[in-house]
Amino acid sequence: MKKHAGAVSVVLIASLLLACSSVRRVVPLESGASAITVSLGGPVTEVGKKYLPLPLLSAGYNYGINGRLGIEAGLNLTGALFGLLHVDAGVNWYPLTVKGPIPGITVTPKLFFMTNFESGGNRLYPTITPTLYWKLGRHLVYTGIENWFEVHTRRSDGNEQPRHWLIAPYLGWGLSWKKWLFQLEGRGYTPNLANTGRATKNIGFGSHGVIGFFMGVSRTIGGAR
Amino acid sequence: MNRHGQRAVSTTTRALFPITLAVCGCMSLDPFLFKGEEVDAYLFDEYGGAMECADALDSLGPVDMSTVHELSIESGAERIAAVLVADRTSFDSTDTVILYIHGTGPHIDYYWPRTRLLASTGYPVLAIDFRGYGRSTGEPTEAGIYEDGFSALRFLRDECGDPRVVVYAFSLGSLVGCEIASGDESGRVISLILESPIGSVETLVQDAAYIDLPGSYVTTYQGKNVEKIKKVIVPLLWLHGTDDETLALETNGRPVYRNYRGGEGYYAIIDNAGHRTVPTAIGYDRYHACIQDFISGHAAQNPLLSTELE
Repeated sequence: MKKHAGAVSVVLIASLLLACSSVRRVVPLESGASAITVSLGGPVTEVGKKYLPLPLLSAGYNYGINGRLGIEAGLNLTGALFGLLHVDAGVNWYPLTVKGPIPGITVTPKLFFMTNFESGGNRLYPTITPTLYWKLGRHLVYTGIENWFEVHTRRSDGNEQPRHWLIAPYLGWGLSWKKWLFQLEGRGYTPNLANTGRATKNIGFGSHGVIGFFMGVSRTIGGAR
Repeated sequence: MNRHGQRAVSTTTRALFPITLAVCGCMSLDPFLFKGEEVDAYLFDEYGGAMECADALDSLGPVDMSTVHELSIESGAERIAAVLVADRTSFDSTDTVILYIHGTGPHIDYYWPRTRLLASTGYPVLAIDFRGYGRSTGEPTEAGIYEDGFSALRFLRDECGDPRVVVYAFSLGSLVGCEIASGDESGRVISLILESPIGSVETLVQDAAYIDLPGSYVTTYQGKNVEKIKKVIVPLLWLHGTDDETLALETNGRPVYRNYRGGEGYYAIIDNAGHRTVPTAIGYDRYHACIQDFISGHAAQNPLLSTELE
């Protein structure tokens, strides 16, 4: 902290991207059922001399259209504290449902939109996230890779945008109880990219990537699940 | 208070403070971009906390305190603290003084070895603390820290005999360095040295986030050195390490140097140097030579310095 007080700000700046996504509902909802999810967590970041998963808050909504399709939307509540509208919306496609040891598959293409209502302050990022999941009684285990796409070719100061595809593999565990689902998730942001040359100090995989941790709770409304 | 009589703030408190504010509805990160540490007194060689280039003090030996002058400079409604390291406090108009503008570290004591390194080149050095840093009053804002830089220039002109001024700015202090070098109307700024400079606050944000996020999402600071440098007409020296872990050379220093239009630019890209270790990685003797040659107009003869970017 003493060495670089300004880093605190950048820590939080970076988190606005890195914590865009929250824990996700990967299991199909019944037709007509909804679920509301609240997620807390973020990249493990140096704040002072301590490393903490940033307590970034988001809310999500899922709706089951039928057994094969659903929709989801989210709101980044931490971004809202900074006057930033940061929302996402997309589709859940369930091409394969879980059968014993054979995992279910969920594919979620989404659009993330951010704006601070100022000129030049709008951003849109497409993502697609395939997930495999297994159910063991009340337990849920899932893994997948979130894929972010940067469509801009230039950055500030005339610098080129060198990265157009950012990945974040993750591994999660869930426990269901009645209509509730509790989740813990670990995530590796951009494990293929060096994590140096940035004012943000995170814990990564050595010199690459950033590790993040999330927890979430969701409640199903309607339907039998 | 710590053992040196300075106010100590616990690490935990400093860690939790910004998060608490953010969670409680702070709408901007401005207060944290420049966040100084208040002290009751400067301790110089006796400072027991972390210092940049601290090993330089070993080679320099104890400072002659008769050459250390603590000053207070009026800057708008605030008073900023400054330290002049020189054998006198008044100069001729032909003398040259280095105005040292530090980074976002807490105060002058943290950068004291750097100040002494510069003073050991033989030039008087005036180091300032921004408002809200060290013994300076107020809270830092972008306009405020720029005012502090201009106030230091005015102080040298009005109170110190109007010497020629070399502006030496480090890290985020380069926001102030570029501002006053590009906006100086007195003509007394004769050159600008940027060590590990920032390109702009937006680049800081984008380097941290990997993608093209607007800086305005989280801060009102603009700090566009890449634009300000276009108005700098005095000679420029840019120093940057290849291993800068905070402000990457390619996205910060290089665009700044590329945009310089003054016609007399020199640079040194230092292998294996990090953000805070450029002088150490160069070696203090070569660092001295580099600064002296540049200020005295002999930069072209210094083997470390180049002019044309690859």
